Amino acid sequence: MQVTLQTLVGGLTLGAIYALVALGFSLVYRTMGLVNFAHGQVAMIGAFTMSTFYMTAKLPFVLAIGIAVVVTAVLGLVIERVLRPLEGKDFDLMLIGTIGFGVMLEALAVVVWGATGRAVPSPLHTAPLSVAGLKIQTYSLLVLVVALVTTAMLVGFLHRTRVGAAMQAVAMDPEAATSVGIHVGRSNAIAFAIGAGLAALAGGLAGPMLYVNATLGSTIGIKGFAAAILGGFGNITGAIVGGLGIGVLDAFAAGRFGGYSDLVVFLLFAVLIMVRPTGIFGERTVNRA
Amino acid sequence: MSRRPLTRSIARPALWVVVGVVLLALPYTVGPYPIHVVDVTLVFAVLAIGLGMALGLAGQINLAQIAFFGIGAYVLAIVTTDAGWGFWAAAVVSLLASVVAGLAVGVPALRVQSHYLGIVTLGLALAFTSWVTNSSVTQGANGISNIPVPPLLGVDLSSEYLYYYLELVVFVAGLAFALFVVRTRLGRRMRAMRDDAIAAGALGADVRVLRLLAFTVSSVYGGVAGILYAGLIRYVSPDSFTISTMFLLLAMVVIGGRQSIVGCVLGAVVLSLAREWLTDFATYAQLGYGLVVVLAVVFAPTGLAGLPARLGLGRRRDGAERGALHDFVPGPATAAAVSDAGPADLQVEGIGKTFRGLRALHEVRLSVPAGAIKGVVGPNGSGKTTLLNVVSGLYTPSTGEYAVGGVRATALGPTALSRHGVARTFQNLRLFADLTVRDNVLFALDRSRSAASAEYLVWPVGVVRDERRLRAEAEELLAEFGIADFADLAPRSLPYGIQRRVELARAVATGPRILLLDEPAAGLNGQEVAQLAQIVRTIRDRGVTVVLVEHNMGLVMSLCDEVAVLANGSVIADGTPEQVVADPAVVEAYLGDSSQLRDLVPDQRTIREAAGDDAEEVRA
Repeated sequence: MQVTLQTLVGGLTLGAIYALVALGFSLVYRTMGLVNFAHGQVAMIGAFTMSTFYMTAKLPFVLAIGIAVVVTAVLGLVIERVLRPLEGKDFDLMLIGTIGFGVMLEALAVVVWGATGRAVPSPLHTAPLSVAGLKIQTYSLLVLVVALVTTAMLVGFLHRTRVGAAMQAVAMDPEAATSVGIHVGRSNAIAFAIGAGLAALAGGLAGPMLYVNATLGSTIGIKGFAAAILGGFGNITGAIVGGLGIGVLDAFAAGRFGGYSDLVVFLLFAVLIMVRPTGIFGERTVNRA
Repeated sequence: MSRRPLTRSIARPALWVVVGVVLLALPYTVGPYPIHVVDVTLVFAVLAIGLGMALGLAGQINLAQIAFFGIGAYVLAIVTTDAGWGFWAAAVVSLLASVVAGLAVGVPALRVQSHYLGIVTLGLALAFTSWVTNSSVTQGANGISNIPVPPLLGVDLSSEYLYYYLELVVFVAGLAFALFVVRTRLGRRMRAMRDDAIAAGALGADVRVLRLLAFTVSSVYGGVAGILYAGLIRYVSPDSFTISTMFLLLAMVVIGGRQSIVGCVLGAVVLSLAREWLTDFATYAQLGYGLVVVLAVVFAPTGLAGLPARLGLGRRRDGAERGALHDFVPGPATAAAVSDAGPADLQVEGIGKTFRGLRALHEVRLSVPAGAIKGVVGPNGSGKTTLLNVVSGLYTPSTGEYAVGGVRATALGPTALSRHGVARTFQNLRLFADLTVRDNVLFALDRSRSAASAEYLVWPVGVVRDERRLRAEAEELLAEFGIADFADLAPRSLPYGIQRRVELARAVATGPRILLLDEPAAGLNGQEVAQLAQIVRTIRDRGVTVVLVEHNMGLVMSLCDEVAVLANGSVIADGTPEQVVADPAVVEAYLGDSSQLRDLVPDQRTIREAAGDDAEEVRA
């Protein structure tokens, strides 16, 4: 029981990272229908950028993450601009284009930061909390809180601000949105920048938990993507539930099956997606008639 | 067959001869290391053909091709070293294993497509990596060495020069088979499914079988490549089957041109050689090919294979040489296309359809007698298209039943309904955009089952014969429908009216007993509408029941024997055009004003006049 709960806590922490990645995926998808396969690599660039400013420039952790968010938001704008000619035309080509970006970013990270990677120290130095015999790292709590606050802020932004409402409108019907004077291109760009920023936040927060190297992107990218699909693609709540779900699944699979955890997680994921292609909260059918 | 200028018909074979001579002579001109590079390149070429078949031909995002490759190589390694089997016996086992993996990875494609399929296949590829790096059977990260040299009639295949010829034979056979598939019915169906899976299903292609076949074919190429690779290197380890290699393979196919098999081979050759050449700058090479992929999808989506066409070389596919839309002249092909079984009636019994609480259809009762032309009219949103989607099998009704030709059809689904003699057109035109007009019609004429594609292996001559027969029929049908001038063009390059005609020809080509037309006159000019009326009458007279959903009331009133009126998802009137126009409920629901409906009566005369003597002739 103790072990189970401990695994659960670990899974939820990792799941919070996946949830943030899934949040970025979903935001971009619901706004512009683009599935960004380079999203994980953007998160990885965010993690490296954070590590540079935090470890080399000795800036405070929060500031380092802030800089990483800005840097990747700009990166997101570049990706969106390059692939804009394909928007709304050829879905598969756009998808392959983002894979191309992912490959590039991974190589770029090796060029800039080297192939070995780095361990980022935790910004919190307090001892782990003991709750009912469970050891909970304060950093884990921080990650969970940040993920929840970010989600709340994103939902607030989408529902309470003019820009957010405009993005919602674009998500529902780009043509109708244009006809009431919403600039769809700008809305898409904002969505992409926020999505990339969320990726950097995920990558930055993952830094002290996971070893930061060039392949970090594909690891958290594919899990985050799976989380987004599991929750229901494009659904904000779904991204959080899916992220935590994949995190917990991942943690238990690692405990139970060791090195085979990826095998178990992805086989299970394949089965789940066949049983319910729209995910937990998804409503839109996959094949539209 | 398409007509080609004489210079082309000579240039093509000449090119192939030159390529053949170069390939045969190649080992005599290179040293021991270059021949190794060439051998590896050929393996990737086989692998790329397989990915091209799934991704380019059938439109199935397959990021698990690397796993098929790995399974082919690993199973061979395990069976030869652990079980001590001979190379070729083990090769059979590993090919079977790859095919099983292909079927397994293909199963999710029955439920999900596009990015969902991308992530599922990528996940399964990672699952494979996870297995080989952890399992003791695969000896983890160490890999398996001591794979035996494949024995072949005393030829020493440990020489990479001689191994080259073995690979060359396999590669040429693989390429020839792929091109054979692409140019005959299976390939055409896969391309049709890629362009529009819904239309392909509604016209009789079993999309699920096709998707599984795409993954199976892809996995066969992956398995064969894996066997060749294991025989060449005689050592396998997880490093050869990583996700990076998968993305490299994807880059080969995209840069070469995913919709062209030769393009895929070209991409494999170019990137393999580039990778070898830049082996000391691997990171920069990766940066480079990532960049080229991005540039390719934005600026050259057809890849290297499409460059000649984009640069304006070769055949022009649009513009100047476009011909004219000719009149419909019914002849033997039209008569042959129409099913011998005669017209089928349609009985709709209390059909209801609800979309998440929204009631689109409610207790719809409709009877279409065999051989009649029945109009279905109603205001926008009244459920007309939903009704067509239900009786063509695209939607499963929430309640009720319907029967076609006396057979209960509610649970059949679009593909089975098409085989049962139901054909349809679509409101928004669902032509296969990247297929030529001829291929659109050929696709519909071909009534063979996708599941019977084993003929490709067992008796390819039969496939060729069928193809010849189908092509002859297609030429006639295209001529009779007056669209022969556009046979080699892609539908999207054609004016709307011509596209409508092509869609009608495609529907008739399926050999229907009942034809469902969804707003066939939308966007047509007066003359084209008159032509449409004539075509519909002719087809009906040849023994096809017609259901016509239409907003052009003039056309409906003049053409239909009976008209049903839908409002808010229910039938509010049903009878002859005269009865329906006079029905107060119709006037109320339709316009709230009877004046406009009355105007339709003179309109009816106008249409008859526009259709002219043709219409009378056909009836007589």
